[in-house]
Amino acid sequence: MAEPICVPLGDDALRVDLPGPSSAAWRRAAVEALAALPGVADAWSGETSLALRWAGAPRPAAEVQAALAGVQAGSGPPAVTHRLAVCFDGPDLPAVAEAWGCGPEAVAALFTAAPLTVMAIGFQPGFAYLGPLPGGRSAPRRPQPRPRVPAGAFGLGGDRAGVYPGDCPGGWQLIGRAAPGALSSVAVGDAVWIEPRDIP
Amino acid sequence: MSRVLQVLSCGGPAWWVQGPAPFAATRGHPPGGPLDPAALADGLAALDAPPGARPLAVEHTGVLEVAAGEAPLWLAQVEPDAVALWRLRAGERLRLPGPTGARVAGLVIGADAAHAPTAGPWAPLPPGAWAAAGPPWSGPRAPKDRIPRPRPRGPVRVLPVADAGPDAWSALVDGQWAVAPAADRRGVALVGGPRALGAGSTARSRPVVPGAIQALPDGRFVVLGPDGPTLGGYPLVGVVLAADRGRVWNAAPGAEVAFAGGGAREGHG
Repeated sequence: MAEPICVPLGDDALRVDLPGPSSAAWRRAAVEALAALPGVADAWSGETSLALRWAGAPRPAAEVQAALAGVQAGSGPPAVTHRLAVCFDGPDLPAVAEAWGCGPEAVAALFTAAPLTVMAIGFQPGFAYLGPLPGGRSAPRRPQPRPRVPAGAFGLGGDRAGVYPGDCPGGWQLIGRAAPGALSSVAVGDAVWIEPRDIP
Repeated sequence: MSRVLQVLSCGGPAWWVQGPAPFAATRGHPPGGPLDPAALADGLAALDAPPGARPLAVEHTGVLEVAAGEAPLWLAQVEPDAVALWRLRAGERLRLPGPTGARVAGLVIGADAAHAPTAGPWAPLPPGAWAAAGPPWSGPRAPKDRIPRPRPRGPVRVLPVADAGPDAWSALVDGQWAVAPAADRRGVALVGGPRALGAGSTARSRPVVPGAIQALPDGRFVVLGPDGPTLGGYPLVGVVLAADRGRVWNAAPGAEVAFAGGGAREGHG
């Protein structure tokens, strides 16, 4: 496999672009390995890249690549299973159901068939990108983002789902509601079971 | 721990400054920290902060009135051109002007923060709030009323990132930019220069850092702040070097800013 490509982000951080697909379990272990390197103040991951922030002078990129070479999926902390109550009543639910060729109730049922995986965390503090969507489905982003998406909105963007932890603009298709901080304690690689629920 | 300083009133938003917090992005939080890291560093130097000190400061956008707690306390008020040193007696009050030529003014407190920095968005500082801290520091070895601060000159230094392509980089370094009025701790938009269209967006959001310059789909540039996102879907043009970030983050609305390529430190690439 090709080596990861190290891209300096300024003079105090490094992005590591992965050469191919990786599992969330591998990225979880990789972040642990990066965080354990001397001089690292922070380490985190997207889905196609990892990153670290140096506490002081940057170390050679070769040390980072060497640390990642020995990472195995599952060598990180064990994944945790979470349950997320979702009320499927979002304004974009009818459009998503129509695009998926089913009724709104069936959309909710599709999400209960298998857990979603936390693929990455970012965008907003505590915003977890969940995926893949049931049956490999996807939902395109709205052509015009909403100026305000309320905290707790459960949305779909491409082949990922997520709960907005706070109010902000957003272009995802909103199909339901959940507690805004419901996923505040998840980590990359964790499993999230969706539980359809009526929420007042 | 003791209560060393009370905020009596603020003429605009103000907040405690610590950090940046370690391992914040690991949990999906930005690192935080000061809007003007150089000001914090200059204030600490003026106070002769002891080695390993845990800095505690206030950044404020308007007139700030404070009072010392039960013990005498040194303070460093950081202005664009100088650091003013104050020694307050127990209970003594001090009224500080708001920022001039900058978005925020800084007040560095001569005592260790009570806790290590914690991750999370900044919270406004309400009047009446106390700073809890360790014992006050002994203060500067050779106290002066004012210590000049040389203003940094020349363009803001940026290490390029190739995500957005050469046209976007050319637009950034060739353009004459101003800081948009609507900026906050999450980011600062640039106005006035050419728009870099066609940079697109990445299929998956990738890690971003404070100081990263994103090229938005409409061709504008945004410099991410200390409370910005940890992942972003817009391509990066470059990242402002750490020492220069405060020049953008804390620039007064409308202030002109220019960018140029700058190198990484040894051992990085």
